[in-house]
Amino acid sequence: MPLHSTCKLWKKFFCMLPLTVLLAALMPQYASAASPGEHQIKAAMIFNMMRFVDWPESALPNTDGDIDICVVNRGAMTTAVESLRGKQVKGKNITVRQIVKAGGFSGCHVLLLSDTDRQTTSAILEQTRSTPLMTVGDSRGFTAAGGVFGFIILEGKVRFEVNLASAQRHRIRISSQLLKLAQTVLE
Amino acid sequence: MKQITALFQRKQKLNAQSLSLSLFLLSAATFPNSALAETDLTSLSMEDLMNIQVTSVSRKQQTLANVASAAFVIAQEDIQRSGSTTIPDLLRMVPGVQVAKIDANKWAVSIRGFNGRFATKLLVLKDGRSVYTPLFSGVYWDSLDTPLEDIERIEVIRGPGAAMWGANAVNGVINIITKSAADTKGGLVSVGGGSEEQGFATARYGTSIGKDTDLRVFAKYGNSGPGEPENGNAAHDAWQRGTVGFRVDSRISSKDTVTLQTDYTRGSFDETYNLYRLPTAADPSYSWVQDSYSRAYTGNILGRWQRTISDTESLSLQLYYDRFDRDMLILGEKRDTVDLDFHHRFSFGQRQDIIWGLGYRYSHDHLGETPFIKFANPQEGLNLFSSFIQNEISLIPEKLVFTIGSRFEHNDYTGFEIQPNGKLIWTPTSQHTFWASVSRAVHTPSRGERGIQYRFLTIPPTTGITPIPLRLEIDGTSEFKSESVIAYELGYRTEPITNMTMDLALFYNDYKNLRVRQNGIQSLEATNAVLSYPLTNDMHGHTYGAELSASWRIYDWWRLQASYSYLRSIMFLDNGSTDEINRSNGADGAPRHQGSLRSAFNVCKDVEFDLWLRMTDKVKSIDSATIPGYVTGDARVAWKAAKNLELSLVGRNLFQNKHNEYRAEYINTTATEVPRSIYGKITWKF
Repeated sequence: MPLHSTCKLWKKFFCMLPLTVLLAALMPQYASAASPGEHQIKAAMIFNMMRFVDWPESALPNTDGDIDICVVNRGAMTTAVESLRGKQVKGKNITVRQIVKAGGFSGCHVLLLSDTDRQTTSAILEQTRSTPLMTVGDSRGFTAAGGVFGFIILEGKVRFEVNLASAQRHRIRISSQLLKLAQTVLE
Repeated sequence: MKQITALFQRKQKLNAQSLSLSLFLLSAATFPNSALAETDLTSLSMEDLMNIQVTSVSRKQQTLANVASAAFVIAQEDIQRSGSTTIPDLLRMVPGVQVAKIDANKWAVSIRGFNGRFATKLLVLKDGRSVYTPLFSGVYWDSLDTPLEDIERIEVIRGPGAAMWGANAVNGVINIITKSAADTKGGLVSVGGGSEEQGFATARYGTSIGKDTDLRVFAKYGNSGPGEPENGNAAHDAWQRGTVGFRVDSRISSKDTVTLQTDYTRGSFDETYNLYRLPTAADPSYSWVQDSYSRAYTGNILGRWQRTISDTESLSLQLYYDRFDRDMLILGEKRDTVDLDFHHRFSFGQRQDIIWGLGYRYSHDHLGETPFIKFANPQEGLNLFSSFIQNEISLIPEKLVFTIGSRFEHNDYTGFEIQPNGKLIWTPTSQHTFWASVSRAVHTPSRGERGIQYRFLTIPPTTGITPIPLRLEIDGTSEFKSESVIAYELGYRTEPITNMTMDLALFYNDYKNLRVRQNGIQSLEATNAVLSYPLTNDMHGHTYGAELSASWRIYDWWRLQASYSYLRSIMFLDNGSTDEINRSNGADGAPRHQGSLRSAFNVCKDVEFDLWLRMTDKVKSIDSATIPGYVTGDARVAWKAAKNLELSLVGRNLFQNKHNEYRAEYINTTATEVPRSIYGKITWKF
């Protein structure tokens, strides 16, 4: 041991370490306010995406109506997206609703597929193929399967991929400002 | 809100990269950003959202405001706009860091004092790989290279980082982090040349090689001219260096990422030695000057795997192999290093964030013998076992966090070393952060300190000092112990107005067992006398100082960054040592005052105009001469001629024809001065 006169002092300091850990563990636990999680960030990104996407006039008339986010699954992502309810995009109020029965997609502008398995995802994407919808998902290969916007996590940051061909099929237009931020663009 | 956005724009956040070791230091020293938690994220732009580090991969959004250390980040924007072409020159912008050139290819770099080419109290990592050599516990800055365009950021932590990082992080840690292959897709070619940087080129190409796998390959070459001679003869210190490498990043599942990277650097560095010998009948001279060159071949391969188990739990495993081969006139070093590193982070209850890890390193060397330097053991393999644990405890959630931890190491020279650390960080409001820290760190003996025999001088009888030729040597000894420091630090960070951040750090370091040479022991050889100076731990002392930095983005198109550093160092010799040379180098070898002012100015959308002013106080060199302080400046103009094409012109050290910065210690190479220089560069992206 190369320690000299300070040796004992440091040993004491070190011995305090487990004690401190223990004491701290025994202290009452307070819930701490969460830092922004992945789902909150994704929800805010969906909000941003909606600003940069144009729906056909038939689907989103200039004059009236809300802009609807439809959620397929109930989960952490849904809770995060709920916070968008009542916010304004393109001068319209955002509503959030859950799809409870098959085929209930009419009136949806955004379709969120989070935590859905591969088969459900592709079945729903196939079903809504040509409806004027902005589809968003976070499963692996979501855009490859025909989704419009797919979230990915890269180096701990949320990024997104775009399938332009799908967007065209859905008859929605994506601003180039948004496209240039995409991690990859499938054409 | 605006403040947060501004913080992102300034890229000052330490968004720890997936597997870099920095993660562990930072996560251990931070807590959720309360300001951001309260923020309505929908008011942030897409770009800002994309920059937030998410909790789902068990990393928290981390800004400088929440680190209980004196930390500074050189972001890619700073690199690009500095006009610097080497990593050590970039470090000149960091407060508390001393950078001085000895000749065109040799740098002395240290943090908070004890500077020198063979400075021993700094830990330097590149993507989690240690780049200091155990031969002298320092870094050969000349053979540390990577395309600067591929660096994501350089984190510099002043003060001991030993609890998290291990031995040698006595006065600071420098962590060079390169971009993920996913962030460097496409091609980049840059070529340039000028008066000092005579010709250089970088080529990089990045592409996807699978659905979730990306690759980057790169090559870089540079040819630099000599410095200015201090007097008389032409300088002999030109150098060439080339680097090739690749990096693959793959997301093998939603929870797992894997990185594989390798690079190989080759360089040739001219230098002039002043050498001494015992005269022979054939050659009666005692000393001579010889032009020579060093050659370096270094390569490494590194693999990393990280698994994210939940929002608060992650694992990482890293393995690397490093080969280092260097030939110098007076010394040769071949070294193979294998290093394995494991970390696990998890939360315990709601208020404790625990991180622990294990590591093992084996470093085997083969040292050449020359008439000047030899080692008791020309070959040696050294084992280093390490473990650490750190607990970050939220005493008052969002307001007061206490962090305690320690590293336990076992090395073959001094056995067990314990390096504990305690930190407290208080964030009364999101605009103000106060922190305090006490830590202990050690510099474990280097190979040289334990076994070198260096014949550095021969004194002829004609001097009247000695009746027969007297040969002087420095001897490493097996009694050489670890140097140690106990550091006390205080810090304050604030965002006084929107778009401005200020950072103040104060420190007091108490050192023990510092290296000096003890009084010489005389002996006789056939025709001469020998005076051997054993290296011993007979110096103690303290340093104190302050570092202040500020960054102000006045407009979107104009940013100013300033820093000032003050350092005092007081050293005392123990046990009768009379080594005034090392004492005075320890006390006055680093400048007392340093300042830097950078301006990044966008003249119009396509034209950037940058200025960098630097001030450095006088230093005392190892030969007791005083090197005067200097004020100098760089300027850069860049023009985006087309969407993918940038032309830039950089003038460096513009204020004088040449200026002296430092002298070599221990190894007597001739110092040269830094000349004014200019270069042009074309960068094409596709």
